[in-house]
Amino acid sequence: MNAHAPILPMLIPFAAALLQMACGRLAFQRVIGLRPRAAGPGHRLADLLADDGQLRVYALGNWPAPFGIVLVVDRLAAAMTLLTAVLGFLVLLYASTGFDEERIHFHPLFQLQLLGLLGAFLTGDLFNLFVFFEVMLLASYTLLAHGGGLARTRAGISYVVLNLVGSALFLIALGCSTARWALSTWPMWHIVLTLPGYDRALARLAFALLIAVFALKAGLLPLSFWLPHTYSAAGAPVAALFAIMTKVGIVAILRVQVIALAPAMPDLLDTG
Amino acid sequence: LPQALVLTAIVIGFGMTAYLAMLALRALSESGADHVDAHREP
Repeated sequence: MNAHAPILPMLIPFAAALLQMACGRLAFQRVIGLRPRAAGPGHRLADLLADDGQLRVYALGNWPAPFGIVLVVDRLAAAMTLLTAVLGFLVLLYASTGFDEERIHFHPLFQLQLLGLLGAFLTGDLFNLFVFFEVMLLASYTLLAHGGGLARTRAGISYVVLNLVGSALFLIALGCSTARWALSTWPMWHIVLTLPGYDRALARLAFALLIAVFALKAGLLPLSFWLPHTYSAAGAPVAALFAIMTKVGIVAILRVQVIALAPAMPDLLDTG
Repeated sequence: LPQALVLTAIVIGFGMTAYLAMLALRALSESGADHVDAHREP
């Protein structure tokens, strides 16, 4: 059981979303969403780390790193997983007081958003980070529009367009980076950038684009123009959940810029 | 592996664009205009 602990925080919301979609009864959906020990898997991860402090690497289906999906649990990931689960539970508790009655799809979407968030925190490589970003964003687009109304639809359009542009930039950065360095040494966040013969200009471009994209998603100061417009239009529980979505951007900056690219940083910033 | 990357990106991009189109149509039917800011027409 412990060997598979890293995947559980993602599998459980996914299974919950499927169940909720299969049975559209509101009471049933609420019970599934507010299941006891909803934060259990995240808590288990934190427990495991506290036990021995070892990083846990989990390869889905036991595929090796460059081909399969790899999850990595470090302290940051475990803490964010636990935080997401606790926040999700509280938000869902509040949403169950009536916000979820307008449409039957609120609960499955909520669980899918949790899945995307947890995946983004737990994933071990850049491309899967992109995929989980999209899972998270697709759920958030629909959650944002939940409840209807012209203001929400309008906010939704600008939000979707902005994130489409952001995702496109993310993809370009991925293309620039994988072409040169990450493919041969894809192992987790410790990308060794300084392979022989890597293109410094290309790597710099990828590095700058990644910062820009994550700053956009995190709502960092110069790129935060979309945030007030969007969050003020969203319903209260949705906005509360979105609060942790910007943290995904910050965690991604920490991961990519501070941890993964750290060995190559002097070379990248060297203008000579 | 680059093929897998590009395929996934195409699928995701297609899904997102389809959603955007639906959202735009909905806004158009609700407001009768394609403005996305709160600007009111005279």
